[in-house]
Amino acid sequence: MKFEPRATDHSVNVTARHPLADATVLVLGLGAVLLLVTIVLAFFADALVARISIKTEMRWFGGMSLPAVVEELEDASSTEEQALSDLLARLTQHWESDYSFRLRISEDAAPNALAFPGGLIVVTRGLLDGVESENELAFVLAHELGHFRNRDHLRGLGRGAAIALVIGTVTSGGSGGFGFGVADIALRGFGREQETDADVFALGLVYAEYGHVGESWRFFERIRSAYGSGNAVLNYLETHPLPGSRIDELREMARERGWPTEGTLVPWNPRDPGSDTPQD
Amino acid sequence: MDGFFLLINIGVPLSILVIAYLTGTILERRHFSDIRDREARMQRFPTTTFETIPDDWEVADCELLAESVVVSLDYFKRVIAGLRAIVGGRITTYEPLLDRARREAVLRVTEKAKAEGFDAVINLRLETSRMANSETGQGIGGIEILAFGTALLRTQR
Amino acid sequence: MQLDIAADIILSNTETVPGKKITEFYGVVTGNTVRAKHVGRDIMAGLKNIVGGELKGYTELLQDSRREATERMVEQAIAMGANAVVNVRFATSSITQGASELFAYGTAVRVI
Repeated sequence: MKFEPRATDHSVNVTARHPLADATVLVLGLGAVLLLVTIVLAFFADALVARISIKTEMRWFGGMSLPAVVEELEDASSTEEQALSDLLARLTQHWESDYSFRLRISEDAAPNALAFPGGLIVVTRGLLDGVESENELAFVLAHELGHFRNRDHLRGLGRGAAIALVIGTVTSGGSGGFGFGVADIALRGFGREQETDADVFALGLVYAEYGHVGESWRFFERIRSAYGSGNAVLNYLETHPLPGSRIDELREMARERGWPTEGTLVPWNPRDPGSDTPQD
Repeated sequence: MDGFFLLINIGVPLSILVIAYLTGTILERRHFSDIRDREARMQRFPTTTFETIPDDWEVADCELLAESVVVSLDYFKRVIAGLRAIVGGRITTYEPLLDRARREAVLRVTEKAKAEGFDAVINLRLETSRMANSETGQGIGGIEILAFGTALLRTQR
Repeated sequence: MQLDIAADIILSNTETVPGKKITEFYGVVTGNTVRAKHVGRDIMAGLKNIVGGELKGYTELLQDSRREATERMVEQAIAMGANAVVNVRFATSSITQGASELFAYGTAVRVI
């Protein structure tokens, strides 16, 4: 037996495919599938939410304690909160529902209002300190009521669960933090349409209460001037549509329906002991 | 604020991916060219998987040699492999890694045999085993390739 | 599994090819492939796992992969000018979760 040295062809054991080509196909393909699955799941979550009656929601979440995201609540019995509750009560006269709303003020400096399952509305200190008229505040509250009417707060839960399910399945395959980043953006995309719907509802409610929609978009105007025109990319990623485009949409809405955009404004100063909240 | 979190959640993993891909590719290319050079030098060294010594050989000495190499995929390729594991099929990114690890392990055995003055290696065997940090197989996914065989010294005639 | 992939190559896991004599040997030849099972197969196997028995999906996958590894090894042997590969060994190892490497190796020889 003789040894006859021969060169070995090692190329057969490595498939000639560029890793980047592989990566592109996989990322695009899986991305498309995931998007589809998420959309289908979210659709089912939506359908499911529509079947939960408000009465059931109140029974499940009515006694819900405050979510962990809301911290540092102010004293619940302040005159300001009383005035807010009054305002809310007047607005809900125009929209009958099985909800019994609860209002809380959070000690957060960023102007914001949040809707939680079980009829809980949280308004931030930053919002209350910034408002210049009751009309402006009424629109923000009405906007949150719009979320309740459209059941967006529950949809948020359903969609969140759907996305968490998909992400959970994916991350078991690797690449953890990256998936969460992507899901974050996907969730934001969902939010915009809901915001517009809530705006439509809110504008109608404000018109019913005051007979005009003046100062309704004052809140957005102030946000816009506070943040400036801002970074286009970051703005795109915000949950809510751009303040600018939102103002335009609201103006257009009011014009179409013939609702006056100017009228008598009601002042908002419940912290002054002398003033009383004017009643219609 | 949101921008900052986005940067952390997407920007950081993405830049690690790019860095891992670039350095991983350079290191792999360098290793392959090194292996090719050494293999060309070792080509005339008889290496077989025969279990017994060929009949016509007279052997003066023998020694068991075992050499191993532990390798790991770069982050970029590991991510692709992770995605591939969802849909199934051929994981091409692992092939070059295992190929060069195995050739390296064999080279270590034959080079050592040659350095110690032996003439051939018979009954070469190769083993592969996974080293993982946890039972789930996550963590540092090191793979050990072990090559072992018997080095023979033939009597000069 | 059909291991005789190329008609003109003899594979054997013994020292020699029975009835033939090795005249020359060329060196070690190897063949490998890394394959992952997919989620669908996983679900079926998960169900089957409850009752036990053969997981047909996995058997097929591994056999298919092993054939490919063998093919690659044979390709190397043919490129060397060999007409047989003796002392062939198979090694299967789990590389990551859900992925296995099938590896085949042997010595490329010429027999008459």
